[in-house]
Amino acid sequence: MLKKNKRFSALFFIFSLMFLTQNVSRVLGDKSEAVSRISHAEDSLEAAYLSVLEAERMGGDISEIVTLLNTALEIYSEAERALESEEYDIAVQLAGKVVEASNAVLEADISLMVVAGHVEEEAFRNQLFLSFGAVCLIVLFGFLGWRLFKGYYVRRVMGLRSEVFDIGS
Amino acid sequence: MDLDDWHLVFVSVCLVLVLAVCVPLVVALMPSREEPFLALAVLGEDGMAEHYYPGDDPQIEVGEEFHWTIYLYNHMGEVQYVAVMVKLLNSTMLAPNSTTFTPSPAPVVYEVRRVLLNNETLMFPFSWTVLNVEQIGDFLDVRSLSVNGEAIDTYSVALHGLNYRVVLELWVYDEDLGDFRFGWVYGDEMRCAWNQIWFNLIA
Repeated sequence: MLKKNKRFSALFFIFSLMFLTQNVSRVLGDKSEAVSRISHAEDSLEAAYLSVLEAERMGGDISEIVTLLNTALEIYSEAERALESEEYDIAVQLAGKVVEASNAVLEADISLMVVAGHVEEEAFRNQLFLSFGAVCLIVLFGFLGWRLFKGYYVRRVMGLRSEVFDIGS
Repeated sequence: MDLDDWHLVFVSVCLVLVLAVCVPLVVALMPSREEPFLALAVLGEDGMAEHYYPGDDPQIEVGEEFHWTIYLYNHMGEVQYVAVMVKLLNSTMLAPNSTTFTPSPAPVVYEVRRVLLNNETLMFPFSWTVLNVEQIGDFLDVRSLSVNGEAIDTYSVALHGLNYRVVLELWVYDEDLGDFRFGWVYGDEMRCAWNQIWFNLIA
């Protein structure tokens, strides 16, 4: 009877250990997956930020894409909070959303942003041409105006100048 | 006025007009001499740098709620990826060092990350409460805080609960480093921004 009890206890212990190991490994697996997904999400965010920075340096209008990136950052914070509160499934789900949003930023047509940014560049070029034209006109009209004024002035002054007649002849 | 005087008038008027046309262009072409910077501030309940605690009394109780605002401004000339790290320190813990640009070694209790456009200002709500405190002899140990509705475990001991401080550090993403760093580079120099607000805790 005692032998039977010992055997039963040993079996119970082995089964409990197996059950515990299985659960612990599942939880640890969930946690490590969540940590890895969040780390991947963080990398995606950094890549997205660097693409935005590049687009801005190329003269692109990035305001809309930055709004999208900030939304991704908010979701990232939620994912981190879910990880801290051991809600691994939610953390994984949210990390996936962050990657999606970051990819949307990366895939955004940077050429379109750059075209929008070029509007400013074009406006500056137009200003440059207009200014050059205006300077040319000022110089030209100044010169012509001066010539006309000089002629008028000389005629007027010369017209007022007293003439000397030889009365004796 | 004789002809020479009129000539002078004509030339002067032309020069003034040419200058008026060229000045906006020259201003646009001139490189900016402003120093780029980032600003971090903590504002009180009214959105001003005052009234951080009810009745301006920094003796606070467990469960008491404070509504502050984190103010960020980007004047770096381009978009910036920034993080505000919130830490809870006692009087003996090392604060950030503005000379060596070393952040406080205390653990981060809350973090806000944002991408700021050039010249963008961001006001971020920061509501916090001390949730749980443990008395250990003459010492008080803050075991948990609530920040923006989120409960956070922490560990910060102070004698009689005196001289605690909430420290906020501004970290900036450094593209060369590929990571956040405390402060930012300006030319060959470093700059940093951080803030601290003191309080005493009544058990």
